[in-house]
Amino acid sequence: MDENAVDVALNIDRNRGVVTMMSSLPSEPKQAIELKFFQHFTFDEIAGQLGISSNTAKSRVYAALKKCANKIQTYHWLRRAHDIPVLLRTMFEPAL
Amino acid sequence: MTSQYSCEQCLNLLFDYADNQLKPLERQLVDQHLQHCDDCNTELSSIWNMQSASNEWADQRVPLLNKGWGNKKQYFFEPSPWPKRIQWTSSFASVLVLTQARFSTIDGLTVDFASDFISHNELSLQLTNLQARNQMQLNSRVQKLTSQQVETNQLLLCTVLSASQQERREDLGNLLVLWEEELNSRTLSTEESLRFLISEQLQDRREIQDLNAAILSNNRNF
Repeated sequence: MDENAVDVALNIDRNRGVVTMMSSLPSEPKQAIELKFFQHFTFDEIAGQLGISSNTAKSRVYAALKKCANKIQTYHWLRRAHDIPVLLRTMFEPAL
Repeated sequence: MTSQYSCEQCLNLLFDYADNQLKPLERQLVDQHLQHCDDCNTELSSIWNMQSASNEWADQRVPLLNKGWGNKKQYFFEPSPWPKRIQWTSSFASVLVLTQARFSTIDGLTVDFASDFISHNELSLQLTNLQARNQMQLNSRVQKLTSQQVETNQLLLCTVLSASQQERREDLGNLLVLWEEELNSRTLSTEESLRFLISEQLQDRREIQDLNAAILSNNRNF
């Protein structure tokens, strides 16, 4: 198997939680969050892209964050649950 | 003298605060506001959560596919690297194949490539012959195997029987030796006892003769 293919498979597994979280959002907050957090644009750049003022962009991002606050909490819970088997193994492996 | 920030001012600076890009004074003021404002705290925590989620995101590319000659890698949507000569030869080969093919519609549609047409009956005959030959070969193999099995069984039986015979012979020899020893010891003991008895009897007879002589001499004296 190609090394590239292994990397791609690992990345897909890592990204699955983020994808499920983002896909449950409506389009406008999804766009705001994607531009701010995943593309790392400043508010001025976002405002330029969307044709709105910088303050509107900021308030849009805050509204989107408020909308998906529960979802991101569940994402982190699931992420921790995903780590539980690894944690248990690291705890009990020396004993075994 | 430092004045307290309102929620609006705090929210304006919160992203820079999360990215650690504030001046020390502004940072101190935002800290002071965060100490007593729960709403701004939840906003800050949601920003941090989102940032950590985005840090876990790994960018993906379209995977490379190994389509070229040798080990040269190519993207999937690039045009074919094959030289035109090979495309021409392949199309020529396909034309050759098509011209040599024959179509017949006797028993359904059959396509035949450059060989004599064989009827269904001949094919079935060949098939039955082939099956019979296979059956014969199988039978002969089975017979060979069974004969080999019988031979090996007989050999095994012979060896086992000879071994048991030898064991019994050895046992009998041992028994005979024991019996002879017993016999010898018993004859020796009987001989000894007989000798003892005879010597006793001889002594008794001598004593009786002495007594008789004594009695006779006494009678004469009287």
